[in-house]
Amino acid sequence: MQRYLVLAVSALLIGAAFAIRLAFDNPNDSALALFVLPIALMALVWGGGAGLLTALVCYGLFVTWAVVEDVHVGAFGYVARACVYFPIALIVGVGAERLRESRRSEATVLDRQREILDTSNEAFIAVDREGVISSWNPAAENTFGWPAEEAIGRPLAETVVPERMRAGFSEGLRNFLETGAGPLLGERVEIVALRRDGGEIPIELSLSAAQEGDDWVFHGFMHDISERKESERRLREAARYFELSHDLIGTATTDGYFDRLNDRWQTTLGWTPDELRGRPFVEFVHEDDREATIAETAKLAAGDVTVDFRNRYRAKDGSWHWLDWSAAMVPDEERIYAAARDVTERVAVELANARLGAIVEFSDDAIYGYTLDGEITSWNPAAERLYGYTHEEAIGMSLRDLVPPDRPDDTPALIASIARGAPVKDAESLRIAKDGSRVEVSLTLSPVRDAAGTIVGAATIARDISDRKRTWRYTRAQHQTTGVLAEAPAVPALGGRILPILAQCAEWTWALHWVSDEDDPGRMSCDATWTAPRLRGPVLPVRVGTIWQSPPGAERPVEPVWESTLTEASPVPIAELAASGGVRTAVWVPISIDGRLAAGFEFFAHRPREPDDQLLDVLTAVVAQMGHYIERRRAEQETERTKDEFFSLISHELRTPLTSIIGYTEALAETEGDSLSDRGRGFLDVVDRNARRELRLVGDLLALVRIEAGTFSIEPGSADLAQIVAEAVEAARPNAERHGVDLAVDADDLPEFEGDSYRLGQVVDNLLTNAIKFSPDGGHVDVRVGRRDGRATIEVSDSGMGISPEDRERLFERLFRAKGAAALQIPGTGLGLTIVKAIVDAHGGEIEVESEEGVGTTFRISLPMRPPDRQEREAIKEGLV
Amino acid sequence: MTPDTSRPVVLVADDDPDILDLVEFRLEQPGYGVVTAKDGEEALALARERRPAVCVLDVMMPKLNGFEVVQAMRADPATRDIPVVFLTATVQDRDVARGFEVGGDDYLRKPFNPQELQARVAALLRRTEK
Repeated sequence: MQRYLVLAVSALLIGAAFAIRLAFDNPNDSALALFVLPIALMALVWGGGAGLLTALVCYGLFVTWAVVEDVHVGAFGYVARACVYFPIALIVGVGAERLRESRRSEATVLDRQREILDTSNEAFIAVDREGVISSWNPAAENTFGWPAEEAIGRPLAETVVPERMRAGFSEGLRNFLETGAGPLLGERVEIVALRRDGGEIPIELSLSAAQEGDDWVFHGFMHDISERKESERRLREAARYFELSHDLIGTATTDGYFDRLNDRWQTTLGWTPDELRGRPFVEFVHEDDREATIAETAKLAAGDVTVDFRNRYRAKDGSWHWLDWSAAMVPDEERIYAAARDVTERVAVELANARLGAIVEFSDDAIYGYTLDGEITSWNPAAERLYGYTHEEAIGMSLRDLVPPDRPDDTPALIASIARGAPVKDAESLRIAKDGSRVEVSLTLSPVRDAAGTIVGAATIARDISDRKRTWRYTRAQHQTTGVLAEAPAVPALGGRILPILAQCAEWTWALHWVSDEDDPGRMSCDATWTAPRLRGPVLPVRVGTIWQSPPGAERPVEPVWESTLTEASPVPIAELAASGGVRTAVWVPISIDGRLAAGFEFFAHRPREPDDQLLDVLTAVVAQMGHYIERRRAEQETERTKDEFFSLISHELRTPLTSIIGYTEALAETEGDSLSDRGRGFLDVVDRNARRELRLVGDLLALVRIEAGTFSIEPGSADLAQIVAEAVEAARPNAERHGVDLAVDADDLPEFEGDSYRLGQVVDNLLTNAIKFSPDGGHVDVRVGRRDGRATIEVSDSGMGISPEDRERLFERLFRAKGAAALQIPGTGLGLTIVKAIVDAHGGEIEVESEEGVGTTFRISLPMRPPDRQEREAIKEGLV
Repeated sequence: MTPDTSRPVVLVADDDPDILDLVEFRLEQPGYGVVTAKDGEEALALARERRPAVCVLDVMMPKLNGFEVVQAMRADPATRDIPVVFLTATVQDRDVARGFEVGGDDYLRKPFNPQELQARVAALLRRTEK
């Protein structure tokens, strides 16, 4: 545009110059000057070429005009004009070109500079003396977040200087403007700058000040050094990690020599990094691990990365440390970078755990873990065997699934105990297996804690004690049987005593005890039945007294029989009835005496039960024991009977002459007493007294024999205690008188009650005899009969020597004689009180003694007052009246 | 001794002659006519022959014991109703029970109280007289 304007102006100027020449006839000089202007202008604007061209055009026009107008110009004129036009064009053109050239180069520098600033990664900011931003390149935009349009014109301080540093900034600026001192100028400094978003970034800044005229302009180049700072930090961090790490970190050369190592090597193995550097690391590896270590290093060389390679390193103190390695080789650096962790303790724990694991794995006891909610989390093979659930099935199951549905769930209480931290030891419980069978178990529970020590679950060791419990029940049954036999029960009562014991120990449904007929062992009668408590009544119509006859021709069941599938033909009593009644299992255990069937137990179950050898052994042992007992009892009874008969005979034979002695003495005294002298009557008294004493002795001896044999018994009838006592007192009176003892009786009337009058008389006789015997001359014996708490009482008190406390304890022992009695040679056998006690016991009564030495003794007997047996009483009355 | 029908006859049997005499003595005191036997057979024969008002029998006697005598007496309508007292030195309780079982009416132990013997016999006599 500009150029066309210049062209037009030049053309106008040329036209004007011609017009002037044409108008004025001799305007040579002005025309010359007029032509010079466009030439110069063209040269100035369009360059030397254009100037010369213009000069040529102008010269051409002049020449043309001179020729056409035929104006004499002269050679000088042509030369002079040429010498003016062309040099002007050249000079102006070249000068202008030069000028333009210099201008152009100046503009290029600025453009470059701008371009550089625009494309630079360095942020560039120019600020005037007021601190206002005058230049802001794109990098500055990026760095600080302000677009150039907004940044330019803002005070720098408010734009990039963090608030806390603004005062210092202003101070520094002012100071510089006043004194010219700028410590930051020309330096690279790292400062913190503010971003538009308020974030602060570290920057590196180069600041320069330039004078423009009178003014100062400040240029700052800066860049964000966050990344550099970060990487520097990382490096420092890495260095710290290198030294701080608990791991052994280091490098080795690719050919296997230690290089750089952290201090951890020293703390762990005792070797200082210097001691190790330059030494082959294999040297420190355990012999057994060397081969693997070398192989692993070779793998590294092949480009593999080592993860969790474990070997043993020798420490300086000679101990071995397990190290877990991570390593990689960097071929460019010819280095192996490696980190190792000392896992010696962990290896020990792992080893222990492995051992523990093996124990759990191969334990015969079921071991399983679970959460406090009862969810099963571990399950060993023994648990699989015990409960029937596989590991996969059990994991996630609830403990409650192991509790029989019909039993109270005891797991909450067990877990609660664990949650409190209280272990449970040997808790016996019942569990149900997958197949529904029940197992008796002994459970031991221990808490499982997390690393923080919080109880998070529990582990149970469950031992199958079904066998043990069964054995225990069987053993108990045997002991109970022994206990029953020790009580020496009568043989007929035996079946009824033993049957429940045997039936319960093996959980039968129903059980019977049969006794063989003495004359026909094939004919058996039921003498005891037992039904499981859970059943309401007997299973089949068999009761005590039911007779079973073994089928004619059939073998008598003298051997134990276990019928798991009972049929009508099974060789056990009532097989037919039981089989038709739905009984599946019958077990027959006979009791044989002298090879002859005497009795037998029969047990029934509704479900098939496989033969239990252990139980059969127990039953066989028990019936053998019973057989022996019965045999022994029979033999004993035989012996007792023989003995009793012998003593009875002796007694009878002794009493017969005494009957005559006493009877005839009485008769003599009665019939001939008057003709005898006092002395003679005295002699008769002596005979009578001694005969009676002997009579009593004979009676006592026989009673003792029976007490000893356990066959002592009373002959209960109707006893009138007042009468009995009165008779005994009267009988004792002569004896009392002889001893100078005052005998007093005080008897209340009592109703007659069940008792043996003869034996009760014996009791009073014996007590009176003792009382009189131990009372001094002038002493007194009191007998009181009364009633207290619904019981009849007899008290016999004397004013004798008394009985010492230690003697009192032994008073009722057979043949025991108090020390005093022995010392004073008071006659006696020591039988009296033994017999008294036996008689009182046989009446269900009690005897007690109260004594004070030197004061006297009181024997106090209390007897229950059962009404006498009516029938017997009637019979006796009938006989008497 | 001639039979005196006004006096009740008591048969006494015992193999011990001293005791036999003693019982006879004690029963003659209240005025009974007493016949004596030395063994069971004799006692049974006398019981049949004399039909005593009361029998006082020892238990352990030769030939027939007291129980057997009573059993035989009870089996014979002629002697069935004669009351019997056993007088025995036995101390076997079962003998006492057996005495009543076989048909004895009362029981006395030797040595006996003469008054008691007389009282028991009198009581049995009163019963038969009714």
